[in-house]
Amino acid sequence: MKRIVKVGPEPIDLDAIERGFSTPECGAVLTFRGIVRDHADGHVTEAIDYTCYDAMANKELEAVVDRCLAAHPVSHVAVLHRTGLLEVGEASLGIVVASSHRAEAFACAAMIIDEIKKTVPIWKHEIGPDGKRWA
Amino acid sequence: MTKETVLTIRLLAFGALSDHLGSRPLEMNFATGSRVSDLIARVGREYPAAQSQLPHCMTAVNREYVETEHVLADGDEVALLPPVSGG
Repeated sequence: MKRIVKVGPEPIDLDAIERGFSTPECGAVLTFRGIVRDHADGHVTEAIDYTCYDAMANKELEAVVDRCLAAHPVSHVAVLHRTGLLEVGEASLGIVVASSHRAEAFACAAMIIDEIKKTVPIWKHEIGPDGKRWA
Repeated sequence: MTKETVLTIRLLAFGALSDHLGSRPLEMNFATGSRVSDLIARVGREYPAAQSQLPHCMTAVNREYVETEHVLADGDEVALLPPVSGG
């Protein structure tokens, strides 16, 4: 099984991961990119500054992946969350899940996103023409 | 407090809470046997502007989520974590 889990400032590049996950037993390779959009809650967004509790974020993201694999076993999984100042259009989150059939891949990826939003200590500071606001 | 009854922790604040407590670690002393709930109450007294956010925060001690009844130990790293918003 291939497993890549990381919170950090590096740009997210999923192309090589998708290729690496396309192994013969996998009939489904699912990729999700979370992208910085230009609005949130009625405010214009120009960029988002993502901060994290460095010492804990990677550990919690690993725990999220453990829980999701226990609930939805798949062949390969990658979850990358970027930190730092990201402009509109840049990817903040990348997920690649490969499995024999599509149902496990969709279920696993959906659970990963839901769980990240509950426990991984990462925060958005949205930046727009009317100033900065915590999401 | 006598030396025997004091423990020292390092407090970290994140997200919106860092607007009030700063983003550098704070050193705080507590009586032996103090709990996370005692720390939160004291933060609320010393940083009144942060008071409204505290009930929504989770707490981690030494990078593990804990409940407010958790008893603090000397040298603990305590983090106050507002609702996370990754993704």
